[in-house]
Amino acid sequence: MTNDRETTMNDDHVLVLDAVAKSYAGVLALAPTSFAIEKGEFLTLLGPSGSGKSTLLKLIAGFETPTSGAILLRSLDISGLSPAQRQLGMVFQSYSLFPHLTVAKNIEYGLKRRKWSAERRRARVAEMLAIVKLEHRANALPAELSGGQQQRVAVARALAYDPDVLLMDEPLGALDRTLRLEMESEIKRIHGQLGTTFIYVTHDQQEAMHLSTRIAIMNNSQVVALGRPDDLFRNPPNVFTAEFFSDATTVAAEVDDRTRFRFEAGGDGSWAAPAGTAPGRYTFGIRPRAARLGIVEGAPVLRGTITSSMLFGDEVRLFIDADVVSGLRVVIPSRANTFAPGDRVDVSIPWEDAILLPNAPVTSRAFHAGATR
Amino acid sequence: MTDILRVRRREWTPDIRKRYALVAVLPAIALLAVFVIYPLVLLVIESSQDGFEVYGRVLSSGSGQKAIATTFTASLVATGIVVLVSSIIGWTIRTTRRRWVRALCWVCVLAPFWMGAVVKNYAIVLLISNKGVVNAGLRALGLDPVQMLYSTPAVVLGISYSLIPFGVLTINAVFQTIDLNLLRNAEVLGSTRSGSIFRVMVPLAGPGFIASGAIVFALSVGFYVTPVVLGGAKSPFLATLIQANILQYFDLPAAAALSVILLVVALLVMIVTIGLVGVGSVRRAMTRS
Repeated sequence: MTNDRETTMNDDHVLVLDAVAKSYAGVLALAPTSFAIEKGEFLTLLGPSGSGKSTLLKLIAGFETPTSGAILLRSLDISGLSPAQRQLGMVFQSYSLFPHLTVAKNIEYGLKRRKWSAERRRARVAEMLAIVKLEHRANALPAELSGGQQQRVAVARALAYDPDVLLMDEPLGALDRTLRLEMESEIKRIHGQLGTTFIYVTHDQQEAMHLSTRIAIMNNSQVVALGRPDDLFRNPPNVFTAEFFSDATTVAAEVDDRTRFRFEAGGDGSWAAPAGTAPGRYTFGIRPRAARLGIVEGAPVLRGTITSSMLFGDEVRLFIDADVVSGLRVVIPSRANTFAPGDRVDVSIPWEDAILLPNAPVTSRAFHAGATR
Repeated sequence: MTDILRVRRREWTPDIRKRYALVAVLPAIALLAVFVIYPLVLLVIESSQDGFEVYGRVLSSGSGQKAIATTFTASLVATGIVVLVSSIIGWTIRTTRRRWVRALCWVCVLAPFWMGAVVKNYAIVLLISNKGVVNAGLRALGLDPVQMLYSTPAVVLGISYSLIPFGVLTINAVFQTIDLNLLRNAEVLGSTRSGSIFRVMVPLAGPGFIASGAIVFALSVGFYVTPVVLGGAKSPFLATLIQANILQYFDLPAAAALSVILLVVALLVMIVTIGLVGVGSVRRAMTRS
């Protein structure tokens, strides 16, 4: 687990959100949110639709003005500035390439507005075309390009004038799966090559995991978790993150005074909880790949019936109705799948892969973002 | 068994079959033939009874030349005004997030649509006549009244007011096709609000402005009531002259020749426009209005 508090307290912040909030006619669209982004980070705002991630991006871009709080770019409050004055780069989901301008002219647009000399512009356009590997399409019109190529032009155009921060609003949403994976590596490569700070919005947790250095998980108009993808995935700080990001099935559980763990809905067993676990009520999270079929020594066990299975090539996803929870998902290698629907199985969850969340209102660990009041 | 054999193998399409389509449009074609094409042919025959000598006569006469000049300059100016004003209103309708603003714009735009030509023009008379509201205001301020009625500018005002609905409807059709994210993006890239409008919206809507202008101009040259009510004898329009030729001078060939000239000019404007911006822009502008 990283020590986020330490890393966000240094002076290398590009963007700082200070209790930024937005409401429309009294309806809360974003609860007060505070966090800081370091130079060169790839921060993803991840959440289901309506979670406030787009509102937050619009506030940063300048299409919306915060109801309260401040947005600091290089320690300058930009909350009241127009989008043009903020000097940010942005890639829209629809790419928004100017249809009447060629690829080169699209990329040049921001440079012209910044009154770069013709010579400098030409050199920079050539450089950006090389970075996105579209040198041969410089004089094409956007309509003549494929979706992936248009996406690259949009990225090149937004990065041409070297903005402090590049904002991307679900940029891969319109692409098919194969192309999306290809563009993910492209975006990752460009981020690594240029070192620009990226803020990326998506509802796809796979995409967020592939790309991000940090992820802010949003739900109900607030940031509910913020941290490195691997930390958040293995140690989600709350039930929403466990279910939405770690894809876990959650079960109510309790730990008694003698640190014996048992599921609340009954079941026949009790197990020794990890050393130092306080007594109380907990939510127990089971990631599909954390569960094992069969008995594992010392690990909590659920008994259930396989209801169906779904093949994912090398892996099979089994759906199990257990005695304490239904719809439990367990992923096992295809070659180990000797099971059929109707089979009774034991599902063990070794403590090192289990998620154990105390049923207290506030969480600890990787999460330190605002909006907890 | 025979039932199955008799089934015709034809792919299913939602559109009407050709023979039914022909039957369906037949009444429209018949109406067009009887009420438009036939009279037009008569018109051309009437105007060319003595060869095309009558064309030379109307084109060389002082009143003919004056009417042609007035009609085309006034229509051109009115077209410019209509396209400009309609663009501003149309863009407001396209971009505003407030529904009441949009509704208000539409009501204002469509109001002249629902009024008769005579009502519309007499409303303007009430405003700009020598004892009208505007001159009363000038007098109240201690200024000399201005003769506004019975002048070409008055006609231009009347035509512009009448044709703004057509301008807004045609231009709005074009604006609806413009992705507003393009303008947002232009601003993120460093453009000012007006810069993004001139560098992105205007180039994209350009063909639409031309198509809209052509439609407005073609409608404008045929105006009759407005020049009579607001222009009077000083600003004769072609339509006014045609009426005078029929009812005052009983010179039907001259009236026919002037009508054909009017028609040919309107037709030429449309053809040149289609050549300039393509049939797509014109069709879009016309079908949405």
